[in-house]
Formats: sequence, structure tokens, C-alpha cells
Amino acid sequence: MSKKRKKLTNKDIYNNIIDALVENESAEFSSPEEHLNAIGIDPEKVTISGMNIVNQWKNKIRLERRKIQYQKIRAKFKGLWSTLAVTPAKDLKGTLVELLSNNDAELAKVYWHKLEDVNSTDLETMVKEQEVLDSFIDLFAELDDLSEE
Amino acid sequence: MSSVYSKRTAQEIIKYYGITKPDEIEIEAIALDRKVFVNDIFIKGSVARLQVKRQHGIISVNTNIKEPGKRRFAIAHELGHFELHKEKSKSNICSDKDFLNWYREKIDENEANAFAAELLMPESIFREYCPRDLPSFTLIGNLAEIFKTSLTATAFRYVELGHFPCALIASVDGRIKWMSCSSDFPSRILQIDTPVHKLSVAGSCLLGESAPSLPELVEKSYWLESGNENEDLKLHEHAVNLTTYNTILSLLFFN
Repeated sequence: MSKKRKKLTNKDIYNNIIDALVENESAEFSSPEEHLNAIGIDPEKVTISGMNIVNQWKNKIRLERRKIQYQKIRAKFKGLWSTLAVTPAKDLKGTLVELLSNNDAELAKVYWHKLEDVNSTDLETMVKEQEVLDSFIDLFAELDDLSEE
Repeated sequence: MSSVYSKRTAQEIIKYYGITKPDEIEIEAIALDRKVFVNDIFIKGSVARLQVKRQHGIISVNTNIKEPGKRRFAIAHELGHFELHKEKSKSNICSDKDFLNWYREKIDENEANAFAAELLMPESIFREYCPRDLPSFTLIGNLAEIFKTSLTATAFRYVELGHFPCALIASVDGRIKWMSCSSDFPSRILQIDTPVHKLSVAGSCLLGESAPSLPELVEKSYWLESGNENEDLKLHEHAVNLTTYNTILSLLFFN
């Protein structure tokens, strides 16, 4: 007599995923469906809330990876920052002109206000932060490779 | 935009990552996953700031911040600006006042504070961890340790979400600076800027005495407007002196 397959509960999915993750910690899947198939669950049988759990788990695992990545990036940028700290900042006036020409009026206003009223040391730091941000934008695209290093 | 929207945005993030426990709130990792890098540097004149470019951000946190709870709140606050206001402003510079004064007129700062409080102390998780005991700074200190948040931010959240009606008052330079009450706290607190009564617990701290370790009975008139309070209930005050911030926090409750 064939057993009728019952619909999986959230708890079943949750437990199956944890088991599968423990078995293959480094596994990466391009979609929740692929993830489910890989651990022997038919995605069609999964409820919407079950799929949400799968997605949450994927995000949770990524967050774990981000923790490690953050430490690596921090170490990388620490080097960059100490180099920047002893290098004179880019020409401040030039940076302002550049910002204005890019129509980034608001940021230019912040810089201008800083230049006039506060102190140039902090303004220099902000310009250097922009350099770090530029490097971060480039690096972010390669983050997943970084975690494999 | 409103504080409600700010809280909802933070709640969606908590749900997105399937966070169910306080120790899963890894603020730097969450920021990184939202394309924001947290950089600890020395900043002159501000606590933290955010710069945004092409949907990416950099949060600079002042290395002068010694308390880990305050650092986390500063990061969460700036992340709030990124999530809520990045289309509006490409740069935010936040001073101590933006984090400490919960009643500032700047709407963006209030929204960022509401976001940060919800992200670091999500309502559903925080309620679970709130004991049903009488309020005290010992209890709030324990919660602050669990959630890795500052005492002030945790006290503020406790008053909002705890199981016991209470009120939190901050006194600066001997005057009431700001206050927060549970929705079911039965009385009205004296006006902002009223001098602190010298016989209150906060008053004795002002005179150089150290704050008692347990809540003490105080006259209602020290802190409350006369009128609607129940005669049978006694007012208790527990205080803590935050000398670094020149602030005394008083926790009031009836029992």
C-alpha cells in the first residue's frame, strides 16, 4: 500500500535544511528552489511560509559569511587608512569643484560648510573617507571571492 | 516618513535575516550585507557620520567612543539614515546630542533613533527577555548586557516595551531635560526644565551622594503633577548617575 505524501510543515523544512547545512556547510545555491531540490525536497510541496523560512536561512548564512568578510575588509582598509592618514588629502578645492560638477550639491555644501566653519582637519578626513568608499565599492563586487581566500 | 515607518523598516530587516535571538544581531555584518562599510576612525566634533555613493555607504564611527553599546547604537543610527534617507541626503554628520536627546526637533534624527532601537532591540525579542519583576536599573543593565546596547537606550526601550508601567526621566544640570513614560503610566511628570527636587534620589545624587543600589520611596510631588494619582500607590525612584554625560537617569514606578 503506497503511503500518501503529506505536505511538509515548516518544522520539517527547518529541520531538513539544518541537517543539509550541517552536512554541506559551504554549499551555495542560486535559488531557494535549487536549495530545496539539493536536499531532496520538492519545492512544489512547500508552502509560502516554508519558502520564507528557506529564504531566511539563506540570508542568515550569508550574514554569517559577512561577519568573516567584515574582519577581512577591516584589516585591508586599516592598511589603506594608515597610508591615507600620513598622505596630504587631495586638493580640497579640487574635490569641491569635482563634487559640484557632478551635481552633488548637497555633499559639496557639507564640505563647504565644514571648510568655512569647522576645521580643515575633519574635512580632509572626509575627503579621505570618500577614497575608502570608492575602494569599498570596487571591493564589494568581489566580496564573495574574498570569503573564499 | 515617520517613526512607525522607521520601525517597520528595521523589523523587515530582522525578519529578512531570520533573527530570533539578541546575539544574532551582528550590526557590522548586517551593515555590510546592506552595502555599508563600518570604519572606526578618530573624528573631530561628531560621534559618527555616513557618506553615500552609488547605493553604497561608509559609516565612520569615532574611536573615542568607549562603550560598545553606544558604538553599536551609533552604527545602527547611521544605518537608519542609509536605509531611510539615502535618497534625500548623501552625507550625515551626527553629534552626541543627536543620539542622546530623544526629543530633538530634527525628524530625520528621531527616525534614525527609532530605526536603531528597533534593529538592536527588536520589539518581539525584547519583550520576551523583559522580566516581570519590579523595574530597576539592575534589570535594565542586564538587558543592556544581553542586547549589547547602552544603558540609556535600553532604559528607553524598557519603558516603552516592559511589562511594568514606569517612567524614565533624564536630569541635566539639576533640571528635567527629557522624559519617557509607558503608555499605561498613570500620572503626568512635571514639566521639562523644572528643577530636580533636592529630596528626590536624583537630587541627592546632585548633592554628591552615590545612587542607592535599590529603588527608594519618594514623595509623588517630587516628580509628578498633582491630581490623578491613586492615593494607595507609593512612588518609587531608582536612579543612576551617568557622570560622563553629566546626566542622572531616574526610573519611576508605583507599587
